[in-house]
Amino acid sequence: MKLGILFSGGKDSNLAMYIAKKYGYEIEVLITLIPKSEGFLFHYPNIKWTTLQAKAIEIPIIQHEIEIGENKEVEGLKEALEIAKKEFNIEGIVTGAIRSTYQATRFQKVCDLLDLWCFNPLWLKDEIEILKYILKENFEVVITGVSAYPLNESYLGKKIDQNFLEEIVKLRKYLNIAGEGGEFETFVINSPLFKRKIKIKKAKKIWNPDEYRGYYLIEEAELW
Amino acid sequence: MVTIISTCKEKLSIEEFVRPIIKIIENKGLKYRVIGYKNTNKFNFEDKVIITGTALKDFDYLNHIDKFKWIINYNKPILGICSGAQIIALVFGSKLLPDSKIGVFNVKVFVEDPIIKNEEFRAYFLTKRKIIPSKSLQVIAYSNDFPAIFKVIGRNIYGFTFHPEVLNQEIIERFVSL
Repeated sequence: MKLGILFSGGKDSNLAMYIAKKYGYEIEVLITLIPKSEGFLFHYPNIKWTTLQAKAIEIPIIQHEIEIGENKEVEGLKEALEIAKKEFNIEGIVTGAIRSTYQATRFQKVCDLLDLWCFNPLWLKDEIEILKYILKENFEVVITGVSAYPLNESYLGKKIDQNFLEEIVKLRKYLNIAGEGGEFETFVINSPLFKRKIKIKKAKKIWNPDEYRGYYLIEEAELW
Repeated sequence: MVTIISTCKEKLSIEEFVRPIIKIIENKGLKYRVIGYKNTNKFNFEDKVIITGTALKDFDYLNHIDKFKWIINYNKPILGICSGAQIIALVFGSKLLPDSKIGVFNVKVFVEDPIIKNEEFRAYFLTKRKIIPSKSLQVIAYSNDFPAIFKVIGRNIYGFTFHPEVLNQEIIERFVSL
């Protein structure tokens, strides 16, 4: 079956794609939605670098700009999937949804409208086990956004490693440790599906102490 | 041992609809086995059975209802989830109508039952079929006019048209403890 990946560039969509590949599915296209400003469904701020990830994985990518506002985001998703279906003959999509019934409902409804399969291989998986699995499978993942106490500026630009895993387990009662609610956002620079790694050459931290949130903005990156 | 019957046609769906059930059973320290819906007539069952749900677009299980006729004379508890509930309903002479219900909705319980403690709760639905129950079934909970939970009269055979593994895991925990 030919599938598209709803792709944010973060650990969850990369892992979902990896699982689909392991099961023998053909990944035809990555589908990235680029909000015109920060929305509540989709990843931001390094979303434009998904084109570099697509080159690293050697899979085509559709980057579709969408308006913000709930109905507009869903409409944008529908448009992107229509393009993917028409241009790449996908029969379904794979998402990295873990526990959010809000996200899952919207993905399922749009897929139903377009007669597409909707696969969510990370659904209800334990968040710690996801992080352990990513490390075990040698994913290299950089933290590119934090927006929940007690995560702070010092986490920006850090790689997810065993130390991070141990720290985040201790913080479990304070936040969704998989980061699905936007508590922390990530960018994958290497995975078993990458033909070449991504090297971040230049980045800057942007921290807003009033809102207690910040980003690690990638300014220059290349394949190596 | 709990037997989990997967109604998933696609391997990726197993991750989504079977593994969460496995996790609940493992957390209770119980043994289990998993078999596919095309092979259920080849096994002898001795204990509780859970028939899982599957992807919204997947209706292949409807081509294999004949393999579930053993349910009619089965005396141990069975819990059917979504497509699993549809299978049970069809085996006992019910009908299915096209009717989508996708998302989180309120469920109201009208009949007391040992595995359902709350009178009202939120549940995650992912279905395109509404069960029109036969006389063999008693609907014990509704979401508006949509049958949410039914039971085969006189038996511990349940059908959940929503996915309890998402927001109501305690129901499955109580079922496997029956």
